[in-house]
Amino acid sequence: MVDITGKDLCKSYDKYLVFKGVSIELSDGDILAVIGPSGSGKTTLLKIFGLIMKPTSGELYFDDIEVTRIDETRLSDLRRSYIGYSFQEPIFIPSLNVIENILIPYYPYASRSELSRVKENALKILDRLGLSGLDRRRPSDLSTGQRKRVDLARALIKDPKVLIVDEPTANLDEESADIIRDVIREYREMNRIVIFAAHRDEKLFKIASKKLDITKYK
Amino acid sequence: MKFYNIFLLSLKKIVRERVWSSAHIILIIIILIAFSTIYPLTKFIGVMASRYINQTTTLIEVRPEAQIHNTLRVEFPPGVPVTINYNEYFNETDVERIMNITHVTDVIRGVELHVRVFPGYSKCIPNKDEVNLTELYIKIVKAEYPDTTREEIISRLREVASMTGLSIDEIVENKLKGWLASGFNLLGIETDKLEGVSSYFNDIIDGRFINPGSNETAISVDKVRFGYVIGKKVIACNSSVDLGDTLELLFTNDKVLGGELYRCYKVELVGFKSPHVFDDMVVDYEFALNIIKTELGEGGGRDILDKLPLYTVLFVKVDSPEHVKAVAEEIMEMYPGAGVYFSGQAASEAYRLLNSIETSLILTFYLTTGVTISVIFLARVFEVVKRRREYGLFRSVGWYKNTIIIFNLVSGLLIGLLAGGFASITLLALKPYLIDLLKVNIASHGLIEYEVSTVVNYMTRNIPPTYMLILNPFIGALISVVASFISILVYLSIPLENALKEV
Repeated sequence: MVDITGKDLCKSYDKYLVFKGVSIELSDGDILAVIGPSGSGKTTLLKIFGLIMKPTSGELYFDDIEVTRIDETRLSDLRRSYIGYSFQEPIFIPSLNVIENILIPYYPYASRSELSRVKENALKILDRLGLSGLDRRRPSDLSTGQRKRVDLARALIKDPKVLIVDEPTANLDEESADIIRDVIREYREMNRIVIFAAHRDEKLFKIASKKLDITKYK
Repeated sequence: MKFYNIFLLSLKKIVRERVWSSAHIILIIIILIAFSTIYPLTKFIGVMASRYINQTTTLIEVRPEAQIHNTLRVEFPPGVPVTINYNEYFNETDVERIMNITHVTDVIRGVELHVRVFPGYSKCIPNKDEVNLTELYIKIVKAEYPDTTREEIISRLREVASMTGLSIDEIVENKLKGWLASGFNLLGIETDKLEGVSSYFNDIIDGRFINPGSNETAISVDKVRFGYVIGKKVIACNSSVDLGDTLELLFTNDKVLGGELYRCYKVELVGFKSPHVFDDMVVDYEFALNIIKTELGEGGGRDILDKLPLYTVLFVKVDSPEHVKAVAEEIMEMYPGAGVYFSGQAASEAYRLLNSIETSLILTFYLTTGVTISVIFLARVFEVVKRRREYGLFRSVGWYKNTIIIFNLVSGLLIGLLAGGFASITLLALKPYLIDLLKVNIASHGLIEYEVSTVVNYMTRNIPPTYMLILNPFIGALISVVASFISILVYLSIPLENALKEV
């Protein structure tokens, strides 16, 4: 498992301050809800936790590793072994089908037998997310809710220690949103860290063990 | 890293994104076809131009003149199958005088003979009954006059038949006999001195010029006709001679016409040349000299033997094109009335024309090369830009930068190999049309029609060159891979957060 510690995290673009002074500690089983209105910097903070973006200042630790100071190769290692990231706007390889998109993290590093084992697991995850039978479809043939769930499936396939989900239920029908909430709940029970950003979903906020209102860090 | 998975993933993307991949591949095919055509063309034109400036323009051909030179006063004895073409000749003293002229670097000695070949009809076509003589005759006529139709030839034969009362078979047989009972010219030349000037003699259509000191090799001027005239085996088998064939030159004289006595000189045929410069069969001087000595020795031509070695033609090598005229004038002064030929002006015109062609082609070559590399490069850059978010996704899920580079290189390699392979296949399919196109464009310069026809002949056989057909996939792959590498490196310098943004 992993502990995440953010100390005085600050992000700004030129003179525009997104947030400052964000300090937080997360450990196994913590679910952090980053809340705030659209454009307030929630996604930016999630990207910092997801090692996609570096903070302008401050320190971020994964256990005792100060991730803002490590090189790209070690960052790739951490992304692969610690983090499952589901984007606000899912990104897919259009020419690959659903199952192939989910397996992307494994292609360069898994043997053929590992790949087929992961594929079986991916089918179970798709089933859990209510996407049975869609594994051969192209992402472009899916609805918004389905695409969001496929993106989540790709985050889950790695069985990550830290699951980061950006606006998991935004623009989804209630059925899709319920499925995603359940998955996050299950993750808490598995003693993993979940970080999500949301600005309206009260049901989702209730699952969170910690809340961070980004508007307070301006 | 699992290369197999990366390869498979790349292949899947290429196959499934067929519209994009096809556009990408077609672009590279077009550019490689242009490159494969223009590159060898410019190379060859360059070689041609340098040949003309360096070789043709520094050589002077000198022929003796009867009134003032050594003259053979004794005719060849009757029945000797070899005659020297001219009564006039140079000897070693003449060669030394010419050698002493300033700027002359060497003198190539030559002798021209006429060889009478009377092989006897039955010896030429031992399997005469198996050969359809009329068909053979039509073949020979068509080889000489390609525009003549078969119907026209037969019609003419019928006319003659009606006038003479002979059958067509009899007419054909008589005509063939007439051809077979002919001879040919033979140029013996110092082949060991031809380095650097061999192109003057060397309008090789096929094969090569004889090597220095090749006593029993020969180069023929008329591929088709030669096979009918000489070589009993050849005419019966395939109606033509080919490179590597050993020709049996059956010399015989009037005394034994139709008889069993003849002398056989065997030569291996090493090349065919066009009758542009010499309408002769070429052999080494020593070999020609040996023929003279042998035939005259038996024929009683002792007076001539005493005058050997003699030369009916000399080729004077000059150190630079700018001195050719002065040397020629000095030779003319030394031997008034002698035939002194130098093709400086014609060569210079040819050179100027070829040079202008070369210049424009070289510019085109650089342009094509530049465009080829740029287009393939830009195609790959565009590919990376187009897939910016995809590569961002790879990075976000933990792919190493090196893995992304390799993935991109594999894609580039596959695209390049496929495009290069298709380019080679397309070139092969387009070859006949390409040659027609080139012929039309180049053969329109009448002034150097012959030279140009040589170029076209060369191109007909060599464009696209085999090596380009083989190299195309690798050229495509190489440029594509290098371009992929550079563009992906540039891409990977973009921060991940920006790479994931929608454009």
